[in-house]
Amino acid sequence: MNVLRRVRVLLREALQSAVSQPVVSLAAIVMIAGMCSTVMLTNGRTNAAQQDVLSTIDQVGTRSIVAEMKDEAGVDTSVLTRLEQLDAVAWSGAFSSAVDSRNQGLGEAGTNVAVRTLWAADPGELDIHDTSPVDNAVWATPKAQASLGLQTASGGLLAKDGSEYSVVGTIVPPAYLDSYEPLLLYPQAVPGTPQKIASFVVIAKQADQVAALATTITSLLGAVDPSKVNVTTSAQLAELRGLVEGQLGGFNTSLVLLVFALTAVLVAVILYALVIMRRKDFGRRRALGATRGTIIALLLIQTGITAIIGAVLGCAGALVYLAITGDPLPGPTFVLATGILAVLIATVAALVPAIAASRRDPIHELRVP
Amino acid sequence: MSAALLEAVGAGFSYEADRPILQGWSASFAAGEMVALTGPSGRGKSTLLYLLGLMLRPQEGHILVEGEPASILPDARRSRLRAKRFGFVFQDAALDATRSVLENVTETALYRGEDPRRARGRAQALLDRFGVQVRATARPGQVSGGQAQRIALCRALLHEPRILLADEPTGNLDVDSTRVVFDALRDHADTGAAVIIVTHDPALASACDRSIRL
Repeated sequence: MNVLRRVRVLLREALQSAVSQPVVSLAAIVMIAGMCSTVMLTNGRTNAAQQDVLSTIDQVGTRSIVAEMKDEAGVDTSVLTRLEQLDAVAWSGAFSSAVDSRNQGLGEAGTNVAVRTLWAADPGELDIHDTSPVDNAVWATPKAQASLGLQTASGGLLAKDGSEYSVVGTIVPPAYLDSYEPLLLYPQAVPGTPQKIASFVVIAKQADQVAALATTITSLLGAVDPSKVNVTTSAQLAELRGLVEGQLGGFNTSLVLLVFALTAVLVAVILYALVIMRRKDFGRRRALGATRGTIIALLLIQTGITAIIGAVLGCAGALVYLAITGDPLPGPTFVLATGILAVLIATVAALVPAIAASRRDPIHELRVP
Repeated sequence: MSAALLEAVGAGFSYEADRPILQGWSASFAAGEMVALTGPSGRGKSTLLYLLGLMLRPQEGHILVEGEPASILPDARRSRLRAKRFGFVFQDAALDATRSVLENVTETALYRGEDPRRARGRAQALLDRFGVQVRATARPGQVSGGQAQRIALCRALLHEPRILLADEPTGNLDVDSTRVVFDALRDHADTGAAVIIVTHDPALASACDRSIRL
């Protein structure tokens, strides 16, 4: 029998054993479901709340570095190419100086709103995902649309330099662009011929990299006059983020370890009781030719099957409860990790009872009345 | 009589150091032979059967299976040898109460590396042959003692083992069931297997080819 078929046969046998021992299987399922739901309802909820807090901090711009420069600073789009070389940079984009533009439909009566060219390899960071077939397509913030008197994100614009633009979409600006509001963005690829820029934004991969990255960026500006460049970071927010993540995360880990350790002990006790109750069964199996390895594999697979059912029920039940109560839901990674860890812990906990079962003396057990 | 399928050579065994159950015991069992092990209780008949069945290791001497010293093999190899070459019938049938009759009969297929589902046809044929008139999905608790022993016999014969060991297989059976079980053991010996029976029943012992008294 090849290995795959052997595994399939063992799986089927273990499943049949689990079904034929409903009380023990149910007890293991309830135990593991309880473990998973406890972790999800305590640590999962805390983790979700933590992610919400961190996300809010991130939205404020924890990982962002904004550099604004005057025209005479001499910084151009080539800085983007240099920034791309840094491992710590998740995204970078540069902005031109503002050019006023008005709603063509309103003529002279319209309010001026600044259009800025955005040079970036990936404008998706600002939720500009579409490639519009329209020439000179711009994306408008809700504030800009209101100022321009646009009911929807469409309409023609005339800039003071004579350029014409078409509004094709809406963007919600991140906090670090608040000072540019109301804002129209004209996304362009990073040009081969360097263009002068008025500002650029760098997003660090990790909040704790912001301070070091800000220092590095200063040396990469290629500025004619560095004194005309002002770099602002969110280092204090990054520090706050680190504290939130470290303290809550540390508390979570301790609690998870405690819950998992307790459940592992309980699963081992249940399975040991099973081995004691069914010692004659294991003795018979050994007498009829089951190797110790077969006995161990059967018990571990049986535990794995019940653990998977328990983990799925526990995690799903907890998610439904959190959804009903309106609490924040832990992310898929957390849910998956909880489930996998629960199955692994239950299976490892089953190892000692499984070895005990495999070492049952067939002669002694067959003589048990 | 053909060559020995199973031999004990100077086998010795004791559960307690100063109370040996067997000392320097030798015997051989040939293909097609049906042998009864008899003697008073406590003389080590079952222990001898378990030694011959490789469940126990002799503390002195050897057990040879088809000429090869099997008692010195590691546990896993002795287990596989038991699953493939041996069939066992225990006094109380030793069925798994949580599994169906059919699953009980096909259980040992798993230990031989065979898919128990593929053995269902053979198992059903054996159950029919021995007149086990119960639903295949019935549990052992739902059948009589005689039927349970016939089910155990089906389990032992499923893979047509070369060596069949039976520990008082008719001890708890009525006359009809005793005859069915004995005839099945006789038929199996006639196919060229060695059949060794521990029994207190003089009639059963005298119907065997020979008896060894302990």
